[in-house]
Amino acid sequence: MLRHNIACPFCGLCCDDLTIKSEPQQLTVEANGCPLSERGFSQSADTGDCDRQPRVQGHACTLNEAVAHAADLLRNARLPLFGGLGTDVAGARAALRLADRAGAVLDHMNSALMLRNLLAVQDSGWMTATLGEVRNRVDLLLIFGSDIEKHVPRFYERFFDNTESLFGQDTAVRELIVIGSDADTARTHGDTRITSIPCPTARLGDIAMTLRALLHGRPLQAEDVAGIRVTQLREIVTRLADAHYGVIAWATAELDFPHAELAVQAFSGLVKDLNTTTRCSGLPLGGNNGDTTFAEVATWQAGFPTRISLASGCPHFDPIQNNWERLLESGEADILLWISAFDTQRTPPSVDTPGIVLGRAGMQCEREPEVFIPVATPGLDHAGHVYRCDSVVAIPLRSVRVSDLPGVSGVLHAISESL
Amino acid sequence: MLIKLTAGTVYDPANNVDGEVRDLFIGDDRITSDPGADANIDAEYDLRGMIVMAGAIDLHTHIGGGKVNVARTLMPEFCRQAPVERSALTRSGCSKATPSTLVTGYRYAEMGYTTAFEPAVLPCNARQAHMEMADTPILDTGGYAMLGNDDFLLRLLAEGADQALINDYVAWTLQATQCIGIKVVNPGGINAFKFNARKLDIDEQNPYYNITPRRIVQCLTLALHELGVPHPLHVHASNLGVPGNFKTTLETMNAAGGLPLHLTHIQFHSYGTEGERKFSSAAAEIAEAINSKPNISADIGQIMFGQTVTVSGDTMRQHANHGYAHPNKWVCMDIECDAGCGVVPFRYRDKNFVNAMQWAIGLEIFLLVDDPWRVFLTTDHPNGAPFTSYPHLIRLLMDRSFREESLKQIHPEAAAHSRLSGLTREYSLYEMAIMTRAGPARILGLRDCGHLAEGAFADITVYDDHANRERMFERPAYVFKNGKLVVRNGEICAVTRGATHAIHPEYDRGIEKSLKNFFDRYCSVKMENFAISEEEMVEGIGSAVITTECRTRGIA
Repeated sequence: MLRHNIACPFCGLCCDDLTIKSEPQQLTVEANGCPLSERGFSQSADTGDCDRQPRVQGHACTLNEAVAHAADLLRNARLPLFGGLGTDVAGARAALRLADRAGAVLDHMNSALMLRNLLAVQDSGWMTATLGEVRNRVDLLLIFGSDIEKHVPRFYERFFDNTESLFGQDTAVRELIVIGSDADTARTHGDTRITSIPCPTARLGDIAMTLRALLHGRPLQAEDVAGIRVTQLREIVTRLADAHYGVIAWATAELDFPHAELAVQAFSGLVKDLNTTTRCSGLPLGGNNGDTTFAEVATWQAGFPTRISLASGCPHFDPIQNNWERLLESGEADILLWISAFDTQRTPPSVDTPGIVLGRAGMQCEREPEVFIPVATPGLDHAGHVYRCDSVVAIPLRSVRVSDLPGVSGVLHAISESL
Repeated sequence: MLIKLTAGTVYDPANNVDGEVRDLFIGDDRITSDPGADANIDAEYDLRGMIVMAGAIDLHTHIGGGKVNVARTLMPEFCRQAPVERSALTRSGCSKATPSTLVTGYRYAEMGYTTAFEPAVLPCNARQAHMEMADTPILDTGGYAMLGNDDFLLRLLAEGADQALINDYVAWTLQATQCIGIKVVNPGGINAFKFNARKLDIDEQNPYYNITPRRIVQCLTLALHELGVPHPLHVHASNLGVPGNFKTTLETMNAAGGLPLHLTHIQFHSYGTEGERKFSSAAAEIAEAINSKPNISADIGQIMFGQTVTVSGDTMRQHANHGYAHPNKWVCMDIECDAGCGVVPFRYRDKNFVNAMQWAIGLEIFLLVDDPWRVFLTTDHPNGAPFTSYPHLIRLLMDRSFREESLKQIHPEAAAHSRLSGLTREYSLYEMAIMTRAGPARILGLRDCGHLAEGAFADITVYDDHANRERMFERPAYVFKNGKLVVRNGEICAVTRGATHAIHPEYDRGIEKSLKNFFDRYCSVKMENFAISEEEMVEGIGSAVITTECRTRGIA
């Protein structure tokens, strides 16, 4: 059976125009796919009976037995840690509710990436646009970092190379500047519209700060910054200032260097400065495994986006203390509840801490956890909601096959009732 | 379940009851008639000497949707400063200017509020608004969908579309977003800001569409009238915060052409340019206009002194004011060819001339508008102040000597410029019940809320009759939500889930063909995935819909 206008939860774009062919043992992306959606929809396609069976200490059991054992473990824990948190809105709601009762720490598997943006916002704010706005308005796109298609494969197709736009713009003359480590290899259409400038990733913040200085007319001693001639940077500033609606984008996952939040802060500062005279918006790209979704729900329920401890009875945010990896390494957390409903490959870390794992059916853990409960995948096995990377649009997910697997929220509510 | 509330002093303006000692009966979730002496009463509350009103209704409070979450993200210090512990009954969270959703529900209920409306639902963000409100316990909620900066409507207007087509689009939007009203924010101005315009007065043209704010207000006002939607267009007028903006506000009133129009947080739109500082109160002109135009209603958006955060769809004005951000950080977003969002933290200071004037202007309008049915008690939470300051505001309105004392604390020149000291009016309990219960229910078309007659939802608040009205209104003795006791002595004693008030006017489904074409060509989501069904409201979002009836079409 073919299902149209299906949304994909496997990257931060959450494209909702997919056609999915649904067969008893197989889901196939028939139209508007990409490498991430094709992998996501087809992963663990041939789940046999063994994969669908909960286990306690490696032994097959009923769901009720697994839930009861998980509740026992949480009841007796000093500091439970809820990690992974790869789930939809309903799963995030249930995780926060259970964590409140259990006095747990919650930290999403992607927190280190998420904090690159969140810390910058907490400190100085930003100006951004949503994907639909970019699609219709951008005339100059500046990208910090190069390989954004790895993280958001259909970004150019849907939001830059679109042939139609609302305001009569000839989208064929949109300009693109890429500054990043692999800029030369990134998206070379042989197109004169594209300017590619190589730059080490860790120096991107310096480039943004230099652009800000040039925009303000500050004198610079240096003739080049991170290998880029200041004259070339001056030209870029002029183009940004002359653009009617510039967009400055970055793939958050690419910014893999210490204190990348300072680079994001520099990008955001540049955007704000440009808006003194023209329009320009920032656009953080990326996201997967429900990271934006968790941050949104946690923010409205607990006041903070991630790295939240509820151990004292009320929410505490600490980006260092509540780091899930630190809590496992130090041994402070004595139970790990790991949730990963989207990706069988995002398995719990192999640690001595006893684990309760809610994993997408078909997940193979490196070390057998105390409790393993195979769960349904939102958008494949059941309806739900996930957030796009612009943090504004919550996309409705549909069920595209019949499944008897339990969803994350149902399992967590059952554990909560058994506590 | 049959409950008797015995011999309370009842204020129920919708039924002309002004402080009469009466018994009330609750049958399950509704108010019921006297079952007679033989009836088996399950519980009885002796309310002698106590004040009884319907549960309060806040018709304008930012409690859901992206901008509130952006504010929470921007201001983690609020949550750090005011964490709230979990209890056996309640979840943990945080309070301060943008409380977590759960705490929002608890705090509202603890003040005797049982229903609240989010006034700025971006259609593309309606799911989030409803999800947040579904996670706001006890309260029934609802939203107003924002139109008037969306490119679909502005294109229709620019093309000279028939009013009938605009009506269909408005009705489709209400259905698709599960909202109960329509709001316009800085009509056309948010859109103009995307084209780099920095101001747009009521008769200036949007730089792309050549449409004026006046035209947008006219067509939406007419659409709601013709569709029979009870709540008039909810207008955040042009030029928010700009000295001299009262003229724009008066012109916005005129744009309605005599049809019903609601001006929101009107305090921010009532500024003159008199005096050395070129900033003055135009409360008298605004109040006089409201008094003389029975089609106009307003909520105040009173400011209170202290730290808060302003959240608004008005990116044009929020960006213009970002220099006042305290602390110095702010967010502006352009959103989905739909609208925008601007978040600017703000600290109102009593010793600052402008802030002190703002405080006085809000109070002046409250006291100068004669008809309490057309003025509503709001702080535009959290923009003027958090909703938790309502009891203090109520005392300012009900207690002249307290107001005089407060006036002595503010910037002396502001106090001298204000006519507040000459205003002797004190609101009565009956008027307060109109402004916070009967009035909001009437203007929203909620037949079963805001009053205490048989058949109404058993949303009831009981107060001790303190002379200090702040103390009285901040800690009700009892609050019943749908007949269940949820608050006792100002503290939560049971937690319930609320529902969503929405309206579904009929429309010609032919509009969906042009909408689908628009979504396919220009938008980032499919029309089919944009609209929210009633099933999704219940199952995925978590709040069942209560449908408000439309009036007969075209009858005011």
